[in-house]
Amino acid sequence: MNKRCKLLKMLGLCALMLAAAGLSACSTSQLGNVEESPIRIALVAPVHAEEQGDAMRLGADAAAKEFAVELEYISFEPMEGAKEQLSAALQIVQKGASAVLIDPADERVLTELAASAFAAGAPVVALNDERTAKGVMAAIAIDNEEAGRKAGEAMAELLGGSGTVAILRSDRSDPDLEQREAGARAVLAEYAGIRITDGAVCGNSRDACWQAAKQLLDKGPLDGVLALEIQASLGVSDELKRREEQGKTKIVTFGNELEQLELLQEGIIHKLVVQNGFSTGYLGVKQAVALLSGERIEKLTLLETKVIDADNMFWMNNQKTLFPFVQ
Amino acid sequence: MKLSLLKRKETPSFLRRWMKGIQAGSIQSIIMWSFSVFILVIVAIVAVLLYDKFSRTAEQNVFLSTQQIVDQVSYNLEDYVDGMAQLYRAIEENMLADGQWDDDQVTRQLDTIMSSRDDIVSIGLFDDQGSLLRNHPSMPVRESARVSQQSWFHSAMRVSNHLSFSLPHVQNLYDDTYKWVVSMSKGITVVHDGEPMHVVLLVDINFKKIDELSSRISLGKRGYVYIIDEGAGNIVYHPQQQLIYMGLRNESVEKALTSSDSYIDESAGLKRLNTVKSVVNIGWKVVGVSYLDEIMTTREEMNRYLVQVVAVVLVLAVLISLLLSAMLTRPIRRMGQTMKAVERGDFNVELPLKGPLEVVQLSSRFNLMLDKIRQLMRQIIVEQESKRKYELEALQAQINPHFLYNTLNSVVRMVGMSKNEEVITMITSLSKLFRISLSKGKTSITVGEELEHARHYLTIQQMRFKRKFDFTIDADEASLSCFTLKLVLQPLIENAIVHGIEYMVDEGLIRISARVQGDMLVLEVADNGVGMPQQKVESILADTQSYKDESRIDSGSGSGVAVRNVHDRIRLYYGIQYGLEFESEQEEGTTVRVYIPVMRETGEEARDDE
Repeated sequence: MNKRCKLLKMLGLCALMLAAAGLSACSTSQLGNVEESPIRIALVAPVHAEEQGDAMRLGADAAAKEFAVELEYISFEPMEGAKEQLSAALQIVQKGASAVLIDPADERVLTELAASAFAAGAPVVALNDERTAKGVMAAIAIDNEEAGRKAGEAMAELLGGSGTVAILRSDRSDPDLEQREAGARAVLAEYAGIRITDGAVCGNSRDACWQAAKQLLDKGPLDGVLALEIQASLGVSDELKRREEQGKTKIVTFGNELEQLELLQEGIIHKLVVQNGFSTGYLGVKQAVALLSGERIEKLTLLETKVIDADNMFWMNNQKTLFPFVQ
Repeated sequence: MKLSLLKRKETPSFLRRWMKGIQAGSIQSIIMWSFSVFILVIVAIVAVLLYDKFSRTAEQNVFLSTQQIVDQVSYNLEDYVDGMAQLYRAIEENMLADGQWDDDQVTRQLDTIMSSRDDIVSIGLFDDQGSLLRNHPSMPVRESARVSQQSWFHSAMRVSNHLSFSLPHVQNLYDDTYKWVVSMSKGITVVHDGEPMHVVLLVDINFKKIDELSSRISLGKRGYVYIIDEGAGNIVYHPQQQLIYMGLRNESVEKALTSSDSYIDESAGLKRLNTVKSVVNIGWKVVGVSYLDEIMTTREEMNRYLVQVVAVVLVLAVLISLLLSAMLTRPIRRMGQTMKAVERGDFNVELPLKGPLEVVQLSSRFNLMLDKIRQLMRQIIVEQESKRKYELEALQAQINPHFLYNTLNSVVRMVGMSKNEEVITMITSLSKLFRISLSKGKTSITVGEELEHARHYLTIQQMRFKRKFDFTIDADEASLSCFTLKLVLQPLIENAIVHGIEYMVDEGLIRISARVQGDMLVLEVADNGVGMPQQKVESILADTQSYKDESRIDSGSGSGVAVRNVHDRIRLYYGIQYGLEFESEQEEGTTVRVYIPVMRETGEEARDDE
């Protein structure tokens, strides 16, 4: 009787060990399954900013390779706007993306996407946008006020400390742009010789901005124009070229679109405050991966900006930022 | 002090206890554990050896493959650069051979060259001030291009007649395009319109080819290839060049610059293998970076696999050893159970003869032993029974009623005949005879006493038989103090009188003697009576074991039963080598010898327990 008990015990022990071995085998096979379906991160490109979007994609691709995740890139035609961006973003959330990176066209896109993604359990990382909404777990953006300051400094330097400056604003209310403007105004206010006249407002279209610039310049000569957005800078440049006054009015603006760079080389635009799209995309993916693996991260990552002019635009380390693509 | 001593003692004693514990354990557990441990150790050793071998091979493979890939990249790059240099020479010959670069023939030839190679972006000829002389395809140069400040122009002007390759840069000479190019430039002196002229020939080749060549290479999952300029350590190509410029990433270019082989460095806590190879003709260095933790991953996978194998083997080993030990110990346990039954007193058990050879042998031995025990027990029972019988008989012999009745009859007769002297002698002898017979209940007495007893007996019988025989008694001095069983001689004497002397016509003689012969005490009763035939001599002592109890009922009657009784008593007391010996010749007489061991002290103490 006793012996039988002992034997049974030993058999039980063996069964346990077998079970353990089986379990370990199972768990490894599960691990294998996880490896088969990698993390899918979607990058929703900004609307109306192809170059910037492509640069972000390049950075995101580099990060995706480094962290072994799958990247899905959603881009838009020049015609498409906030509505299309939102629907595309919601669709990708429904398709089961692990995380969404988005450069939102406006606040509505961000809030709605964030709400839907939060419900689906996918973190949202906002790019080039400091606004937060429920579900936005991280943001990568430039320090807009600092960028504005740099622009203001650049303008003051170009003007030699005295002159009339107009600011070309957007017709949208965007806290990023407001911060840029505030930063620039703060710096320019320090120079006694610099007077800020009434600026103009234009939307996200080159023609509209050209018209606005025309009206602005018609009011009287300006020493400098600070264009807060890409299209605004192009509009002002067009008007100055039309008046054949290129170079006389200094233009300081933001962005690194190819056209802006050409204008910079030609001396129509004088200073560009540039952000690195590659870093934005790279850090976006990096943060998303960190979020998915449950690490604690800084919610807001601020990126440096650079002031570029015709002299330093072909410097070795600026070339890669300004011209990210090898064609 | 005491404590430390204790402590020092503890380890070995623990070990010893452990060993003892193992030795004291059941065979089943010993077999099981030792078998399991043995297999486990073997498997573990094999696993460790295999793991070591595999991981080392994996590491070597990674090193080798990285080296090969980097070499390949570098050769490809070298070939490409060589091809481009040849192309440059072809362009140079076509454009500058006769100092004329404006004619149609040159244009046609340049067209041919351009169409044959799609990676030539543009060809340009500048004078030593940087102003354009001729370009192909023909496009206006931007005013803002600042040709004379470009690096390729500088290097062409610095060393004339030497083809130099620039770092990849953005071409900013023409409108609407910002292409990444590598500029090949050379300062050449040509004779143009009869005058020597210093010109710079620029051929821009698309960087895309090199970029693609490098970006396509992947070393492992995350490894990559980058290219640096050997001169200043500038990065020519890096998959994450922008991150490096932004300061988000660090590449230790310095080490790659000085190294010409492979080395291991650490970045962001990860160990990486860097393999360096120079591209001689362009002065670049290809550096392959592969992450060592990817090898570790394979190593870990293998580790996990090996652990699983070891676990499975262990389980199997335990199972097999369990079965094996159970199989081996089952017959032993069966034997144990049987022995327990024997212990309880059940001797009628038998082990089945099956199982391994040793067990069968052991079982048969056990069965034999059990058989022997049974036999001995039977023998002991028989011996004990007979011993008790002999003792009863000896007791009876002490006061033989028949003898007493005969003697008393003789006494009465003698009293009637007024033979007072004889009556006194007879009664005195009788009383002494009985005194020695009883001798306080002792079973052994000295030879002297025994002879005295024999003398009294013979005296009484002599009187009864009216002096029909005579007798002598001799004894060694040494023999007198020896001890013997009592009343050994009396049945022999009785036998001699009844069967030897009584029927004799002449006067008989009975000689009694005692002597020590070696370690043997010999008592002898010899008569000169009628004797016995040899057949009878043999039959008297024939196999004491086989005689029937029934045949012994009439003891003392002279059928030889009393004699055999003596023989058996002696053998029972002293061992089977002792006993009686008969020697008889018809009409001559019979001699009976009693052989017993020489014993100087009473056997009473030694026999007390019996």
